[in-house]
Amino acid sequence: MEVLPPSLSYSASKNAMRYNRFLCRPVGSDSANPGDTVRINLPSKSLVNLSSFNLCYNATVSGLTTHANNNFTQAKLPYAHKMFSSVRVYVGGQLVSGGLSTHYDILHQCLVKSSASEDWCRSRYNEHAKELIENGDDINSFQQNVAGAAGQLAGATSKTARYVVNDFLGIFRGNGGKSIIDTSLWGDVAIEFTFNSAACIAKRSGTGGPATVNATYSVANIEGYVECITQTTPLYIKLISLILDEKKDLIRFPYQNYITGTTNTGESARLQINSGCIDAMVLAPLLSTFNSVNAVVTAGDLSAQRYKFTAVQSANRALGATPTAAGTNIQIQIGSDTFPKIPILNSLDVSDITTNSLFSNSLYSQNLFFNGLTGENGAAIGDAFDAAGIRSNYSRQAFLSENFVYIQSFSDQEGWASKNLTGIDTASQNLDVICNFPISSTAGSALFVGALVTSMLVFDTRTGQVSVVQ
Amino acid sequence: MELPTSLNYTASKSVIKYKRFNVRTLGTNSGGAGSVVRMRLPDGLINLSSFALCFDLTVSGLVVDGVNGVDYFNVKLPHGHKLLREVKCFVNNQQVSGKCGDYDILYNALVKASVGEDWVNSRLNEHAKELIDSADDFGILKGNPAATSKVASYIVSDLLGLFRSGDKSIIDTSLWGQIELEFTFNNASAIAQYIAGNGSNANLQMRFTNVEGFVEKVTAITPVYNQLVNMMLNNRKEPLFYCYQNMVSTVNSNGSSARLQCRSQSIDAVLCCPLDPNYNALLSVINPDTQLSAPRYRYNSGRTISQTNALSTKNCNLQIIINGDCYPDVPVNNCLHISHITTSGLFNHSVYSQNLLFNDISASRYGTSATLVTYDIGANNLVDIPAASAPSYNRSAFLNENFVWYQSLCNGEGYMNKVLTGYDTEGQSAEIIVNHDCIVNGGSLFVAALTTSCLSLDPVSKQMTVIE
Repeated sequence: MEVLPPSLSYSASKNAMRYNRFLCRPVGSDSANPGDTVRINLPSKSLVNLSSFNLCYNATVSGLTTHANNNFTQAKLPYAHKMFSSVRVYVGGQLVSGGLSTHYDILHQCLVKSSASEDWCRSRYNEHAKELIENGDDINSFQQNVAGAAGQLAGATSKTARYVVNDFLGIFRGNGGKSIIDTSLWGDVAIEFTFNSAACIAKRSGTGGPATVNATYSVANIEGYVECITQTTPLYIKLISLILDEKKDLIRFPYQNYITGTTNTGESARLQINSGCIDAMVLAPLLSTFNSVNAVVTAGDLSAQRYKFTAVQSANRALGATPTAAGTNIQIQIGSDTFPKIPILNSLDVSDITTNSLFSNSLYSQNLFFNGLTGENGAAIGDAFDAAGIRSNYSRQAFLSENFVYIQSFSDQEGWASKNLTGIDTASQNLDVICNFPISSTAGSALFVGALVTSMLVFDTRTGQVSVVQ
Repeated sequence: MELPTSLNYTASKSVIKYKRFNVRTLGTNSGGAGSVVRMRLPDGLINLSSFALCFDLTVSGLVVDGVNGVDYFNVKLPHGHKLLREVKCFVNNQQVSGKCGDYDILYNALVKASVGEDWVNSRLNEHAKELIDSADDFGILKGNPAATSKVASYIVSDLLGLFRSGDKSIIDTSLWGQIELEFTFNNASAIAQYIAGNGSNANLQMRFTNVEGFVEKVTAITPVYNQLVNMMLNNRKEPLFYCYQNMVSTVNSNGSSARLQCRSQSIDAVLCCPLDPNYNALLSVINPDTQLSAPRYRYNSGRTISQTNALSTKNCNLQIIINGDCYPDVPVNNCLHISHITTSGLFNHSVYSQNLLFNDISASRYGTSATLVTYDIGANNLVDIPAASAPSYNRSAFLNENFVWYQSLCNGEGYMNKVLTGYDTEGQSAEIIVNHDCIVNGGSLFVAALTTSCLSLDPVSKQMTVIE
């Protein structure tokens, strides 16, 4: 059948939808330290564009030391999303997203490494994404000896910066695009942020300096901003009124949700999930020091120990004479189903599965899997200060050593994005997702296991009740 | 008047589950340059877009000068798609895509016209690094190699042809028939080579081993799909269509009235690029200080940029003629306009469009072998990290390295939106005539047509035919 190409279809419709940006203050104190929780209530009786929410604060990293020689400590201002161990959202008093996760930062970091690029990082300096790809932050280099620096940096033992953070995971992503929620229908929205421990900070120590660094951080002047619809088409009001009056239908609001955990074994690691739509699993190996608040960055690495995802098969055999990394055995089991059908036997295959899961091999897909650092002319990066020429470098080794993230998709795409839930339905039961994923034998090493799911708010027009379908 | 999507509170539920399957080769799973491997995909609903070809490549015959470090021979591991000379797809034993004897050149030209550095840096398992760096994962091309061979695993995905249909190319083999893929591996002309001093490349060899494929298969699907297919097969009189990308190509010995015979219901675009006189030579070397690609992938227009004479890029005569229709309407007079036509044809000037048309390597900041440092990445694993090399962007690079002309003939490739707006040759073979005088002496012209083909299934006779 012949159809008119879209570019020749001359049509336009008109509609009214105006937005304005509103300030939201925290309930209680507007400052926090690692481990503290801050709660912000969003405007009531409004159409709130949750996707637009941003959290602003001033962060101060302190506890740095200076020294005339190499005996100094330094830290990078952390990427904003690393500063949250959990982000919970309540709608109508019910905890609807992020409730089963205390590793928000690791999940977010896995997704960033799998889907962002240098350009993406450079477009997000207010979130301090610079530290994800560079050997330093906006203020100074990770190698700089501030004892001899000029101006404000001279002898500084702390650094302060403004953070503007947005694009959170959870209900901030829902309903097919902009996550606009009608608080008069669904109930008031409150967001609760738990700040991470100082393990989120990349810290280093110069030659002869301490083996561990007690740098920490604090935040102040916390505030949020969110867009609300100040004027909308009368059609919306009519439609909602009609549905409510008919008292027949359910109104559904699909949104992103996530569940995370860590296990101390990579063999038959389990995560219990109860969801109508499991869209994908996210796995990453964690070092034994991932929870250590004063562990320093390995010289030459980009990430703090908490975000260094190192494959067991990171050894050169994956790149050198024997390319097939024997011993890798990665597979996810859900019920009697296994994903992939046969276990992954070569660690390098993981990058292909992850990008295919996220982007279906799209031309536009990008990632930071292969991103690392190198010194001037390829020199190794040591623990000296003021080393010149350290820069971004891409190598397959970096994928195995720092960025080994495995994302296994189960569905056509995330259900909340298409409003069509095609993921795995656990049929209201708690289901064990069993993961086989080799991790280091060093005591304390762990496996991060995360699940990306689509949950739904359901409004029953007969009873007026809002329920959460996990 | 419509309700904005974000205020439309709905959700539907459906089932579509994927699983990744291993596909073995029919016959041997190894071979040398020019060898052919064939694979039969599983039956069922196959997500062809997800197909990944995996193999280990061994390049041997490198020369190491362990004494003085001056007489040696080194190579860069090539980008994965350069290693494929032909990619043929068969459905129901009919060849449906891949009548392109220089798949590697077509793919490389499209890469130069459509990706950025971030794209390259995101695909190191395809060894895309060499596209923008005078180095591969193991070290710089200009350096004395550490060993006489290099071995690396390749994972090659995002192939051209039947693999592309809409967003995901999911094909039902119970409806359309068994799918087989045939890959012809390339020869040493795909490899960028460098000889220092009295080194020799005479013993350069390639070996492909452990060839295997992986593809996603739909393991659970909503019953609605089966109902719909049954309904169509039982009640429908009109044929079912499956649109996909196809391509045909040729190499002409010069650029004057170069011809490509093409028969298609939708020629979406024509791609041309000038080839180096040595494009087929197995043992050609390059200068890593100024050249990124092997001669096979250096698209040199023969034109130059002049600071004092704007005419140096003008008075060319570039035009494509199909059955009397001319594209563009008047010949392109200034060869710099080609980059504009290419990006416009591919991306319609999208703010998100990227390309490597102006990319080459900066000699001034490029390191030498003396700066190569062996880097201990732990556990006795030593790698040579490339010396500081800087991708450079300039217009001369477009004229001398990346002169790719993508002439779109329609609204967009038909397989993408399943609306075929390309040039219809109406069942006849049409001659695509290209006038292209931007090639170097002794060079050739690569001409390819990107088309949309369709598999057609007659619900009455259940016969499958290919509409080219």
